[in-house]
Amino acid sequence: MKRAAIILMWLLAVAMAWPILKPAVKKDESGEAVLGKMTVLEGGRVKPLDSVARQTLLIIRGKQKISMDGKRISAIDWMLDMFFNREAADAMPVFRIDHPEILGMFGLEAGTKKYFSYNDLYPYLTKIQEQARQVNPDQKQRNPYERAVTQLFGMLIQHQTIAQTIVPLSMRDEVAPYYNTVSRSILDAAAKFAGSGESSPEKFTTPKLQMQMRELNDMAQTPVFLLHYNGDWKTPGEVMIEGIPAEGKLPEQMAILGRLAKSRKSGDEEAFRVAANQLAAYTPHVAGENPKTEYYFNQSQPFVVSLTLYVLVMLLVFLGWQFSPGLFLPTAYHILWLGFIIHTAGLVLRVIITGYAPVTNLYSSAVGVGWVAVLLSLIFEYLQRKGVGSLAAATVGFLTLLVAHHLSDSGDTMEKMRAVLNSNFWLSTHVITITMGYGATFLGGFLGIIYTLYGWFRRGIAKDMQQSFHRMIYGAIAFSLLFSFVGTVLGGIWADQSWGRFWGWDPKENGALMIVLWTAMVLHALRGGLIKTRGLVNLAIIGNVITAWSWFGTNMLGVGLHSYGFMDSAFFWLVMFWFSQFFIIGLEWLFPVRVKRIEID
Amino acid sequence: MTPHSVLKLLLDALGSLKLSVILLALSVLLVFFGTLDQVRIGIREAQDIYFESLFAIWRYPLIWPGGDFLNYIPVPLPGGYLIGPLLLVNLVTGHLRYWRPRWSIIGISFIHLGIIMLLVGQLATNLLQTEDYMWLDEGGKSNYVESFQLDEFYISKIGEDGALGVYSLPYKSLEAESTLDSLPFPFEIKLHQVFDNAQIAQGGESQGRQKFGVNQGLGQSLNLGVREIESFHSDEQRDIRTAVIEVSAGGESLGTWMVSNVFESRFPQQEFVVDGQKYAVGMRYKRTYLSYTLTLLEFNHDRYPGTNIPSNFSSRVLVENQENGDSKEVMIFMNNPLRYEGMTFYQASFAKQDTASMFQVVHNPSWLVPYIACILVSIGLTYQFGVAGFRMLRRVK
Repeated sequence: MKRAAIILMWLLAVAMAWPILKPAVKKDESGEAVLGKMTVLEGGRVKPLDSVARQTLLIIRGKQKISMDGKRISAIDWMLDMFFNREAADAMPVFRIDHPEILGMFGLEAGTKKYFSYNDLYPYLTKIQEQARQVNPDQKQRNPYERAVTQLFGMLIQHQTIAQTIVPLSMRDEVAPYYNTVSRSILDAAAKFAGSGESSPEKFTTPKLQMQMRELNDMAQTPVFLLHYNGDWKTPGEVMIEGIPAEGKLPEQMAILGRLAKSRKSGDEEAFRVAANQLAAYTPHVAGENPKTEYYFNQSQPFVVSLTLYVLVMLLVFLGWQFSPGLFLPTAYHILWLGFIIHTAGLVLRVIITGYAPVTNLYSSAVGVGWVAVLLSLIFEYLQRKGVGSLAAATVGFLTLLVAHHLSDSGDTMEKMRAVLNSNFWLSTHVITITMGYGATFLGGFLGIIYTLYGWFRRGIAKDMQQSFHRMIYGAIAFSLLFSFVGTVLGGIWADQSWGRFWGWDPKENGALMIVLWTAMVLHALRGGLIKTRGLVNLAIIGNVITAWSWFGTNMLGVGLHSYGFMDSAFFWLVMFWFSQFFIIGLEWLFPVRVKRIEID
Repeated sequence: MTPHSVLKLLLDALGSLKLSVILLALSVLLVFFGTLDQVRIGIREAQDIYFESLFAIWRYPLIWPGGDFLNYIPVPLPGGYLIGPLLLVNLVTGHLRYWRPRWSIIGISFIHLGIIMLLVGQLATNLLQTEDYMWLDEGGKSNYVESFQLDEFYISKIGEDGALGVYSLPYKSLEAESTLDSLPFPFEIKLHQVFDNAQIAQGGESQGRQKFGVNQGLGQSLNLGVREIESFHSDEQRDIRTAVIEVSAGGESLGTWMVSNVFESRFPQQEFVVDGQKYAVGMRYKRTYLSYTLTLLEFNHDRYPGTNIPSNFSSRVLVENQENGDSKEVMIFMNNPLRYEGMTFYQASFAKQDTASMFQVVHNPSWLVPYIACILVSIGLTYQFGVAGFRMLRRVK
């Protein structure tokens, strides 16, 4: 019976981890997969086309997939349709619109429809553009509607620049004939010019050719450098402009694009696969770039997998405390390890892909904060197998990965670092130590919350359990003080190295300082006997409030708070988080956790 | 109560952990409210009001929900210059009274010594550090730096090929309706008006601007009017320091000029002649002259391919020291400043289609202190928590 239950739990865990294994077990050889793996240059970084597709879709739709008529369309499928079969792509609901006033513009009420296709928006394009022009030029003064309109307009522009990667927007015919026509008129003009003895080619530029050149230049505006031509990354538009006169014919890669479009439209999967392989053969293998790894990373979504495993662990710990610690807690602990290993693997993959230290932006800091908290609680759980460490790990791991997941829809999370941040030395010292400090303070705070909840629901807490909580929270706070302090000072030294000032009272610096001061205060209060376990627990929970401020609140100051900050959804969640923490502390003050002298567990 | 016991009580209180806890809690509040107020008044001013003062008062912002009412409630806070020294006293007294030579707590001494160094070092930095900047065009050369905050009024004696000598007065020392009569020149200057910040534009009285009898120089030729306005309270926009001055030699007025720091980079200098000698006057960002020159040989703004995202900014600079004949070429780039003769030059900005480069120039004699302090505290914390962790492990096992 017990064995069967354990096997069942593990089956559940393996099912959750399936996306990690799937790419290795089921090889995908379709044309979509081949092009998804193919590298392109976008945003200053060489990456698989699959990443471009996912990031773009995340920005405009907020998700990495499209659901339409009960079907799921992957990001790469959508992007390939954008390139090669625009009519299909234009019918897909890819624009997410939430603001009631914008929905009102389309005669819709809020809550009836969220996702819109390009075809849906087409009749309103002029109106949207007009509205976007009328917004307050000062970004900080815009109201939520103005920001929503600006955002929608920006999404449309981005959509359109990508949509014209292969053929100009105005072109609705077949791709290959269009390429051939343009190619012929360029070559005709060149031939006439060469035979004429004239010094200036202008004379041979017909109005038709002029228009075609304009179209090619528009195509060249796409952010996706899809082709590798003559040793450099080029957009198809650039390859046309440069390649046709130089080669005296349509470059082969363009002909392949034509075949891709033809087979995509006709639904000929085999022809599409063949052409996809031909195109992919042109991309170079560059040392230091890892498109295959990134493609695997995209497919397997390791952080989402560990997130779900952490949820399972939380559930198992609750079951264990309620029914049978001996049955559930060891398995919970082992599955936690699985989640942690996948979490770690995800971070390692990021380092391999980007070539930067693991934490480079707000998104990866969330992943890192969770990782540190899970690591520390694994150590706690290893020392005292009571489920507390497992639960704390799973809770903080789950919450931080959830936050990370929501932070990821602002685009590429592996973007290249701007000049001042472009220093692996500081990224791997200052940023990592600060992240470890955040992780440890959150762990302390959540251990505090777990302590309070545990005490309430079990009608009191046994003395030895209380002591083990005390030790864990103390450990987390001490760890946090060490790393927050070192991280803050390293940050000062970095600032001294790059701007010539050690300390500038910048909001982010102040936030880090607050964590240091707070943890130092807690430790002094403990040492001076001013607080006991109860005080420690509640002060640790306030640590959550301070860390959340330091981590997110300070970032919102510059953009938020001014006039509209309270409307910002991120700010809303921060305030809600604060309230929840103070609520727990207040409730604990009214209904203190009882300490049981006699051991029951 | 004997004096002795009073002293003991006082020392007990000053060195107590209770005081440490209170001070640390107050400093968390101070930092929090000081940071919040940066949104309203900028980093620079918040630093003056909260972190470099004895007391501060925070008010609930008017623009927040319920601000109309809550704004009336003042929240008093002890300032950084009160908390900092008290923490220092608390730390030192505590150590003197309770310190015992024991291996198990040796780390604490390291930590606290490091903290003292940080606090004292920060104070020293506040008092001693100067921050200036230097703009250079490619091929251009400079031997002075300009201040980010301070301004000066200057008079320079002009020779055939440039300035022969410059006399300058800090802006802060200027007073309206006063006379500068002890100048090392054969003339005196009367300061009619001095404006901390001003709006200057063509034309006059209708927009509330006045001419103040300006009849010479730019003010006269461009027909400028001036109006005093509130400080910008901004880290980005400098206040427009402006003055109306009258020059007179031998009891006879040569005319009235308008001088302002906005004129300096836009217009030629305003000149006049006394006894056949040419002079120039003006208001400008305070300059500090160096004993060496910097020449910008090349500025590079590297971007990631296919984007406008900068990957690096770098300046190739020639440093020539006239005093010791030293001459060397150096690269200054992000996170890699040039340290030379007590000054540190940082790559800070650029302009003119990537052909001009700005360096932030910092003079901070105590720059090494935080490095040492950090090492001390890190060693101390690691040691102390190592000891505690080891003990806990033994208890758990």
